[in-house]
Amino acid sequence: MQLKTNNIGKTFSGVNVLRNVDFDLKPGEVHALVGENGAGKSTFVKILSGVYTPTEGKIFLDEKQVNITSPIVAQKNGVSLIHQEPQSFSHLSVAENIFMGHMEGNNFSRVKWQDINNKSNEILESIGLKIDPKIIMEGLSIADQQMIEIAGALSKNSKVLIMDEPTSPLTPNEVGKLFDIVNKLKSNGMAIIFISHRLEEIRQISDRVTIFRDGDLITTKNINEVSNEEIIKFMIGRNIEEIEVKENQFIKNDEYILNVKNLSLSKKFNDISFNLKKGEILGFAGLVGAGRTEVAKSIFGAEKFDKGEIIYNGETIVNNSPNEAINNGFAYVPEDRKQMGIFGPVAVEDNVTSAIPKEISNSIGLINSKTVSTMTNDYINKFNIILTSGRQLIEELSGGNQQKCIISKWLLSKPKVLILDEPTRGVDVGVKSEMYEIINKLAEEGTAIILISSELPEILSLSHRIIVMREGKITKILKNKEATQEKIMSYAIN
Amino acid sequence: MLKTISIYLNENPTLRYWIIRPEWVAVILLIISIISSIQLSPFFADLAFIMDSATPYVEYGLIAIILTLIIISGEIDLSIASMIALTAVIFGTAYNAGLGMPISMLIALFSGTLCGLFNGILVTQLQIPSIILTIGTLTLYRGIAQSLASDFSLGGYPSWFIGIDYRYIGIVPIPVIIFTVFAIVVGFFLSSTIYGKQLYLIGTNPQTAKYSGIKVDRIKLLLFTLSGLVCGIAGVLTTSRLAVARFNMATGAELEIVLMVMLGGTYIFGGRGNIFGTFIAFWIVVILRAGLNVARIKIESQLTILGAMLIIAIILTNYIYSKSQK
Repeated sequence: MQLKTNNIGKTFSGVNVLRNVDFDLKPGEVHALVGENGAGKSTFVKILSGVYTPTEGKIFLDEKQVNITSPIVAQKNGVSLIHQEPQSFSHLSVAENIFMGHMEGNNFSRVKWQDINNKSNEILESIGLKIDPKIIMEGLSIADQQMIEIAGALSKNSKVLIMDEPTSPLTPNEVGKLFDIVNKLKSNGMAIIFISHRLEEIRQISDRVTIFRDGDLITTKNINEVSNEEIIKFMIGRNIEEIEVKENQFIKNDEYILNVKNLSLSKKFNDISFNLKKGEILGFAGLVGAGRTEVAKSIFGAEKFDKGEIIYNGETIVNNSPNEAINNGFAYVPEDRKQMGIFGPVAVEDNVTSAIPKEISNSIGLINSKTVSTMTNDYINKFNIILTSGRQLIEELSGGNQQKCIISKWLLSKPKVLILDEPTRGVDVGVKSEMYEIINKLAEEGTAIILISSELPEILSLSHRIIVMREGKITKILKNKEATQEKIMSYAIN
Repeated sequence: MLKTISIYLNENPTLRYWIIRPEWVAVILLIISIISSIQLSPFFADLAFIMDSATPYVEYGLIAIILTLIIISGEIDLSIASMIALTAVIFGTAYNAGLGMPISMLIALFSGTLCGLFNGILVTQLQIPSIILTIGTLTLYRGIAQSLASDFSLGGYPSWFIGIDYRYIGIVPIPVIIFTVFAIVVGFFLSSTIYGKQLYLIGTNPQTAKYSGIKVDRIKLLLFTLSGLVCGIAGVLTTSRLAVARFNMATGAELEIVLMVMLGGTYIFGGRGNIFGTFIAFWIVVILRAGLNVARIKIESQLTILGAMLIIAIILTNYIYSKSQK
């Protein structure tokens, strides 16, 4: 065994988040960890990589017991963690990023640049990556940055690689590239722990799968001995039914609420035209960087546009700021929850009511705190948001619950046009299906919805029509009935 | 024991919100400084003495209240002391040019407002970090004051104008009343109105604030402008107290004002803090300064003690905020 744990447990301020984990990992194996958010898999890999120290239990590497007290100790023992969002020094070169922390100097402690660049080149080539080690990190795509992080792990002679949801920021094409590398590493004897929410990927890449639920290791199975339905059952203890696209009364009418005509912004998107009915869910598919988010931001007034026209309820409008857009009945749930979605160290109820200042205050601006709590509590109950009270800080909630709070915030503003940008990113299966129900219900009530998502099954199971974008242009508008994953991908790529 | 308390607090966010607050540090420091001052001299048990000691700091206190709002919203204004001097000098120049008292006062307030507006426009439109920009205008405004007044003391005001600090209602000097009323009004504004709430949101995450439809730039512009106006008021008050206006008035006062805000538990990175803390911190500075004078500690050495206090205040505030978030 490359790695083995015995009875690992972890307690945070009295709360037991991980119990009795007996886990093993063979060399040359990809071992997937799955579980809902908060099931304990992240805590477990943080223990293995030295971010947390376990409250109880033992870790064995190569049959020898080790005390992993810090990330540096973990790396010295050959355990490296690849983060979901690459942690790179964006102003330094690729080679510097690869050798960060273990650069060798000459007798005067001067860095041997030649040496480091050559070695970087070797490592990059060994995983089939054509990147000049001398270029600055900043210009690279997230996918490439992730590969550099893997290269960094290789430069430390790692024997165990832990990948924490590596595919979630990647496009399908990039995922394929990543899997090629993973397979290459695997055949060289690397032991890999792979965390993902996407079962198809797990089926594609891993040999064994271990399922966590509520801090317990439920079971470990060979991947070809277990079906997706069984895995989901182990994860949540219940079945999830497939959602079908729901028609509603509004779709049959030809009442368009929004007409976007020839919208362009230089270097971002070009000649974007589409229309949107009341009660319609319009999916935006495409690779990351296809310009979908930029279009959404321009409609919402967060960015400008150079050319084109937005016709809303029959009138040409320009949203000069999000403030104007909100007053016009638009709402935007951003992709980057932490940077643009939440006020982290602020109470949930202040987050939820942050877009409706007029509804929670009187004519001279006095806040009615009773209104604030009632409005918040309504949605806490409606969406089953798990928290101790509305005064709890939003950053203490899980990702899924934070997202429910943000949706609540925008529903309180009673939008006519709701733009959802990757609404289920980093959200676990259970919350995801709740989110789908919410979206369908809103459409039934007549809200026009723009749904940007990189997950094709999500787009396919929700949208009435699907717009596919590539490199800033619309390449195809598909009706749901004629759309398949393959078709969408073919228009998204070429 | 400590562990059970912390678990209990984590389960009761409302209670945690009230107990783990940095302004309690200010209150405790105030009590300590009062007790040690009374040990030093029986004068300190006399409320009238403390009130009289407070008057020279009221101008700073007024600005500290506005600066609290600015820091909560994630910015800072370091040109405040220079704006006091510039508006005072403009006031003196206007009066000596024969413009009369009311007009000269209006001009002083107006020029302060303009200075603040200028700061605000540069910060919001050109997106220059306010800490850098206001160091620039700190020098610029003081420079303009110097070229206007050279080394002259601009005086000659009517006697009704001079010595506002010697007028009382009961035992309370009028400036102290102005300060207290101002603190209550702004404190109420900050804690109970939607505009106050938005300042906290802007300071916590300006991006999310923008996407939530909060007019981030307009609000910041208003705050900087308000800061200029209050500095204008402080400039006139200082001239009344000293009977002259000079270009080097209030030199270094920006640090003392920042001290008041920090000591009151306002978080330097924005999003947290309140007026109550600043109000308490004002009295700490007053008592400390008076105490140091009574103890015959030289002005030069007093700066060391204030500097040390500032650092302690920042460390404690940071520590408490990190605790209050687990």
